[in-house]
Amino acid sequence: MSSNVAIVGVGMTRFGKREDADVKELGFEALKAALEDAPNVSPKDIEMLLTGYAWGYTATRNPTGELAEYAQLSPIPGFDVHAQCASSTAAVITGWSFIRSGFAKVVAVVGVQKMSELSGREVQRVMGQSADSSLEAPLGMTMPTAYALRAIAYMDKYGATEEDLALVRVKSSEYASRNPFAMFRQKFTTEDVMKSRPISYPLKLLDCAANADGAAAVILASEEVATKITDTPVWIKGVGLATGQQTVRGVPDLTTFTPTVEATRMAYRNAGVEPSQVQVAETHDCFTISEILDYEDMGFFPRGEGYRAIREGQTYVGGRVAVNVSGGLLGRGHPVGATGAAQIFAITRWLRGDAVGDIRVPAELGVAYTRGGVGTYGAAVVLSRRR
Amino acid sequence: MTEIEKFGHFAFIRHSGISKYVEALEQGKLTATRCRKCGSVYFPPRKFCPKCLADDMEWIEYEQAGEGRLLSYSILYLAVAGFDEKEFPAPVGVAQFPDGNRVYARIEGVAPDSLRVGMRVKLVPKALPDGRVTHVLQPA
Repeated sequence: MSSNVAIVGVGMTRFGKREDADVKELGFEALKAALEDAPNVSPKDIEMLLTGYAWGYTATRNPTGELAEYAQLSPIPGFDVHAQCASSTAAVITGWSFIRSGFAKVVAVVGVQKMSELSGREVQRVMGQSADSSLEAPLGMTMPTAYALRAIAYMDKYGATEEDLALVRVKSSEYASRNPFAMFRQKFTTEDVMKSRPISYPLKLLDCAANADGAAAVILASEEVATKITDTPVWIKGVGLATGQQTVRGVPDLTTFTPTVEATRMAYRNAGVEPSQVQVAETHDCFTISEILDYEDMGFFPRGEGYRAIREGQTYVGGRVAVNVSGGLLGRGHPVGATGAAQIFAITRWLRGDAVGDIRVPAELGVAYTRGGVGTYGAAVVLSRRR
Repeated sequence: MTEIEKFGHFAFIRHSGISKYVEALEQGKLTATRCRKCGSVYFPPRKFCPKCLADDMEWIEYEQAGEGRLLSYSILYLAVAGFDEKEFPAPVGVAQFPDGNRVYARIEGVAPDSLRVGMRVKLVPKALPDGRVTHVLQPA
């Protein structure tokens, strides 16, 4: 008998450069915040620990085991879930499936990453290993380049401009300035973005999400437990997962991410909702172009009209759908394994009627979508106040 | 260096089932693989055939590379750790050939502000310093 699954607690650390903590300490900080947020859940109630984490940025190889010992949760079951930047969304979906199967009633999911021990050039080498390691990475395939190729193809096909991309960062910075968990609190103008140094044409520094340290945690519970312990559960209505391409040469159409289309379509179908019903979304704006592609791939706007949506302000709070109004990856910073849980943190709080900083979004239905690698993995979760 | 380590500007792996591609580049040739069981041709080459699951590939010269079109491009300004900073900024692109096969490669012989989606390109083998070898896109 499969159970509905609810989110009963969320917490996160400030994202940014965190020289005061290692991976397990960041993970603990987020877990502690989620437990304090979850009414009537104590550490001894946690039956399973899953960690969303991407390997290679620090020497830490076993984040779940380290955290289980450090938080004195051992010997409960646990393991790492790895889908690059989509790791902690995939971990939440893994926890959901363990609760659905009856294996566990309460699962803690922690997304964590520490990237500041490496230089930006070194991080790009690690990320290059997320691209095709035989024939593309050796030519200098960086994460910005994989997205720059998308940007040029999209701009050429639909007539969007570099200034349109910059508008995404202007929106992100507006909201990040109001989010105390965000790495970047200053507001940027289109001109600031256009004048920032080139990284991979047409993308400039402020078109790119920054490497960061941080953690976020989500406590999942079965319907039986959730309805007993909280009056404000947020329900996981549908989940979706997909794989895409590791090679750039294998991408069928550079103006769309198939894992985004497939994972979100699966999640909407499982939830029994249409994208037109979604009121708030946290999407994978690792670059400005990716948010515009997400608008279209997630079904919020027709093909070729995503850039018009940001021009018209349709993705601000009060527009057609509020997208990345936490500040997104661009404003919050992108500690890759922690990002999905941070997206779910924000949507959960808004659906409950709580704020993130002073940002409030009146909504009953939201979606979190996280993409891993160069378009290699997609993971989506549809969340609702209603069971 | 193993053959695959010689490919490109910086090696990420040491072993591969398509090392013969790099050997052929050293001889100035582009090669593809053709499945002896179902006849499918792969460029860049593959060791295994996903269509019929066979691992019986024949190495053939790849001759269709002269009529490529640039699908997209970028210019890398950020030198990745391990790469020679003098190589940057470096234009790169994705090209498609008439048979539908695609390749990602650096682009040479085109001024960066002359790069256009749709421009005609060809892929050619190229020797690099220190015994390395690569393939590059040039204007056709």
